[in-house]
Amino acid sequence: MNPVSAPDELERRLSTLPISLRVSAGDTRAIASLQALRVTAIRPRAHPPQRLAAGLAIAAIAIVAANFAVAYYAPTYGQALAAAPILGGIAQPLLQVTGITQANAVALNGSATSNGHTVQLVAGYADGLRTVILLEIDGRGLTGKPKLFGSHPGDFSIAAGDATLADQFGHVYSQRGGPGPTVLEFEPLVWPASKVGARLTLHITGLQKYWLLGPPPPTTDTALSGDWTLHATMIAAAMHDLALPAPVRTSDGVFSVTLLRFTGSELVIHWTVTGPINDQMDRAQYGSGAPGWNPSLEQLSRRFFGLALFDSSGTPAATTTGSGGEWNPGIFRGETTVMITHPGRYRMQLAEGLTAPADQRSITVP
Amino acid sequence: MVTSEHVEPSSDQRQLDNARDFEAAYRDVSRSAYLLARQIGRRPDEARDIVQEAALRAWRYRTSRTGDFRPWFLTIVYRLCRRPILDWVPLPAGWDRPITGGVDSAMDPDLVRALQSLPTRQRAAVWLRYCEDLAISDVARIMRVRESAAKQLLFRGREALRRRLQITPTEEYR
Repeated sequence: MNPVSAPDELERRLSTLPISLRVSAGDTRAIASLQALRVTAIRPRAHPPQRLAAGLAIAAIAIVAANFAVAYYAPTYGQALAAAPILGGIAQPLLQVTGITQANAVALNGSATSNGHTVQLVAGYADGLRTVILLEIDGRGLTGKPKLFGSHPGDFSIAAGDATLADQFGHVYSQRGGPGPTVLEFEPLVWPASKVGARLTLHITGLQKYWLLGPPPPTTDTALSGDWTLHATMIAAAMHDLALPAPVRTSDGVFSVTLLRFTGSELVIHWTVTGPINDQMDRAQYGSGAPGWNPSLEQLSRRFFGLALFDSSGTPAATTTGSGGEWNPGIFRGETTVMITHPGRYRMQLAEGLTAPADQRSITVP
Repeated sequence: MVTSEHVEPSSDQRQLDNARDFEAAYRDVSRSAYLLARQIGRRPDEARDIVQEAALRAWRYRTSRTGDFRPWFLTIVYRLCRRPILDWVPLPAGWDRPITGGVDSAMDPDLVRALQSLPTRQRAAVWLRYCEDLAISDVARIMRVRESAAKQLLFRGREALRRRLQITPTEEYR
């Protein structure tokens, strides 16, 4: 009988690792916020008749309400957005990454000072996919070369979890991080603020010393606490669905677009791939005896599971948050969101391997 | 009189349907889920988004759960983490900070560093097996591979760690 073997040194060290693990302060905060999440409190959307009834009731109340109240709670009514967008001072690479243009952003005013540092709102943008706020901290964060931001003392950023955004109806929007250290992205405005305009309150409880972040690990505390409260008014850009192009059928599979939703700055594309190519993916993953991601899987994935959009000059439209999707038996469902910087006709290539002219599709973005 | 056939849900499913139980189970696993996402290489904001999305999906599809909540939830998280992402817009270099696992160990910092040097899938397998104390069958389920493949990943991960830490395996572990 084989006696119970003693673990070797590595097994022993691995087994004791959980006991001595320390989680960084930022991660601890993120975990705490996750543990506070109340998933079960999220209610499904009301059915259309209920929403209609609720809308009618609110409309009736709005009619008898005083004008100042309407103007406050419905910024579109009060035409509070008379200010022209001003994005001239913001670094162009930052605007490209953010997907915000002169045409779709709104200039914001308002600043707050706490703990010796001033946070100033500069611009914002809202649509059915996201709410974006661009701000400066002590006059820095949006101008100059973005690559250099963070290399000088005094370059502050705002970490996820340090900012909360609420509308005039009390709805609190979750922060999704953001494409830049001083660009905050939140979930999209919800009804009724999405319809009547949102008077938003941004509350910031801490700044991060951005120049101290990253390797080597900072030896001093990188957080700076404070209390900054700022107000902004924004109206969500309307979304509408565009006509779908015809599927592309090849011997490898059928490539179809199932949704084209335009927000005013972004185009959301849902697409599917069905047919033999999915079996090839399965074989590549499981057939070689080495399951998992491997070069042939990578090659197939690149060749058949990546949609791209090109404008009339042949320039690819940039994705905002990358693209993704998931395989289910026999079908791949993909989702890509691209930035649209100008209206016009775009060529859609449903996969990198679909290069034949007959396999190209065109769409018109208004 | 119209009657409809009604199938009584199992006691396990009734338990899951209970919001309080779901939230308690979610709270228990949320830390593990977040750290798993970080180990797979996701940034803190991405890891938080992934766990939130996983929580919503888990709540929505809670009746389809099979097996224990913990590996089931980690499966969702792992799957969301491994979605192919094509970053066609390169961020400015200053914003693309190197990813670290967000963990350290006062007792064994070398092991943590060695762990972070492993390829993602090996790191995930070792993390799940040793730091989350999951059975190999659960590791395989979470990573959507066969058990033999999970064992292979663990073997390779351990070998790489030994090389990095210059540990000579005992005969029975060769």
